[in-house]
Amino acid sequence: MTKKVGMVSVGLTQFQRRAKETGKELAYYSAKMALDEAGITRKDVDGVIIGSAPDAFDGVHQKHEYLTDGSGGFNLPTMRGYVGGGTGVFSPIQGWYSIASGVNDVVLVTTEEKMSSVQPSSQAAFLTIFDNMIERPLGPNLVWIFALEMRRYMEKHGIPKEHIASVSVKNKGNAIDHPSAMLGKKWTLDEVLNSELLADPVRLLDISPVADGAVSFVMMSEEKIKEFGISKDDVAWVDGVGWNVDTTMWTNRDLYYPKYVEKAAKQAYNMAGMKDHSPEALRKWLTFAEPYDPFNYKELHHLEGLQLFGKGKAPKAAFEGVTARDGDFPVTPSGGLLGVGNPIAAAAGMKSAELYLQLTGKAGKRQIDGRDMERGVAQAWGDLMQVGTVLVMKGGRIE
Amino acid sequence: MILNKRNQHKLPTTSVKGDFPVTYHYTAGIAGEKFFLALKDKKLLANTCDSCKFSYLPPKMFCEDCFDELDDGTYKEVDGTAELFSYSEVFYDHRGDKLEKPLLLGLFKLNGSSTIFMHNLLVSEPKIGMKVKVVWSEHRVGSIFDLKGFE
Ligand SMILES: [Zn+2]
Repeated sequence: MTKKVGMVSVGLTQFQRRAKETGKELAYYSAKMALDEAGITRKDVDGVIIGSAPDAFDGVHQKHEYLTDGSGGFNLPTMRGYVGGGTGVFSPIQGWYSIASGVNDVVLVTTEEKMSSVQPSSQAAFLTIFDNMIERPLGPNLVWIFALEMRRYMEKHGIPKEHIASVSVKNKGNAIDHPSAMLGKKWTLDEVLNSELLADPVRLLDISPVADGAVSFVMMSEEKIKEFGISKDDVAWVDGVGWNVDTTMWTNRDLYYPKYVEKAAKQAYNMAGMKDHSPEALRKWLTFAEPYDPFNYKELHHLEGLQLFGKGKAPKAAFEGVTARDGDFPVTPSGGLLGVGNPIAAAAGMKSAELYLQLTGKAGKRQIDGRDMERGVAQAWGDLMQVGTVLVMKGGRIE
Repeated sequence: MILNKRNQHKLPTTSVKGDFPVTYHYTAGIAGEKFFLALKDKKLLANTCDSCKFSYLPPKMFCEDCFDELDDGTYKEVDGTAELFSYSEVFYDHRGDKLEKPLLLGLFKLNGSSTIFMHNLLVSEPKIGMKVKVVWSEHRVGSIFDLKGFE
């Protein structure tokens, strides 16, 4: 029998192009904010989780060791998890299992990335995630390979670019209301469609910006939440978790559909007791979703992997406003990576944080209104495009 | 035991040269920038946590134990005197090349700080516990080599 686990606070730094702070100082800001929000101190913490993507970004090897002090891990059981871009959703999953297993009761989780250090660009570091002799000599970067995936997705379902571009308009617009955002702005569809072509069909405004930033959470067992006298209104319970890795040969998948996200999502839904995986049932069961959106088409791709829309059905729904913050099924009310920014591990950390903030009614101007905030799902994607991580949380008063 | 039956083949090896094609622009950070800029003026800065009285040199933006933020008022200059905590004479560099001249490396406990600091040791007969003092470089730019070492 696993213990019931709740998230009781979050902390976020500003996301920015180049932070004056070191990575550990960024981690400290978000970790300290999460502790202060929870009304506890580091002395109350009995376990620390650090999530950060490639060491090559910060330019510090064994980054978890470097980040330990800022993440509050000094003299505590501390562990780093790392699944590339999937890390920011995986870290609260690690927080969950370290408590659910009974090993810890109060866990401080921090996700961090300082991408401004790496020169000439983060893509130079990404080059080394490909096979050294087969793919790397061709010089692929993530924009190139996502262009291949995006085209495959568009071709398979006959998706017009307008439908995909509408996700950039929505998310960058939603980010205007996020206090950590770097790129909140109301763009027009035409501006997105006519932005600079980078790797056909990918254009500049289809992509999220690299950033520096950190996001932290405090997670506790139900007994500790009672012991600290924390109100259920300030809690979001972990309802289901899932993660899955597809084949290492990223080219050996039909890129139009993320099977690994489907597997991770079904694992999480089943754990939460939700056996009906039809889009209609899931969209009723969940109030909103925060799928990973480093590129606009990825949000749609992931919504289909999460079973929230049928294959090829998400783009039209997004274009028609179904996924707007005030739509039938709000998606990425935070503003996402496209609008808030993409400090890899912290970016998906921000998505996990949005679940907490929306479910506890603390999302300020971003708050989804006009409905009961029962349940949300956050999802991230990473490694060499083959890992899916999924977190379902529910409101503090939902049994 | 399987280990004894399935021996690993030792095959002739061919390798291909590669590299990690990145460089870095590091930021010294909130506390680091104060420390390095002060070095230009021959000042060694430490800062002290009000709660636990632990002094950091180089200074930190936060106390890793109490988790208090250490603000501007916590910084003060130390006098550069120190005690030798440990040392070694080193002969090879990180590439595996023999150094032209062996190097003396020391760990120093600076008076006014609770932490230990690594730098070059500039004495001929080192002894743990000996009193040493910082030696400044003529030309200082705000780097760790604004200190020549300790003698
Ligand atoms: Zn202290």
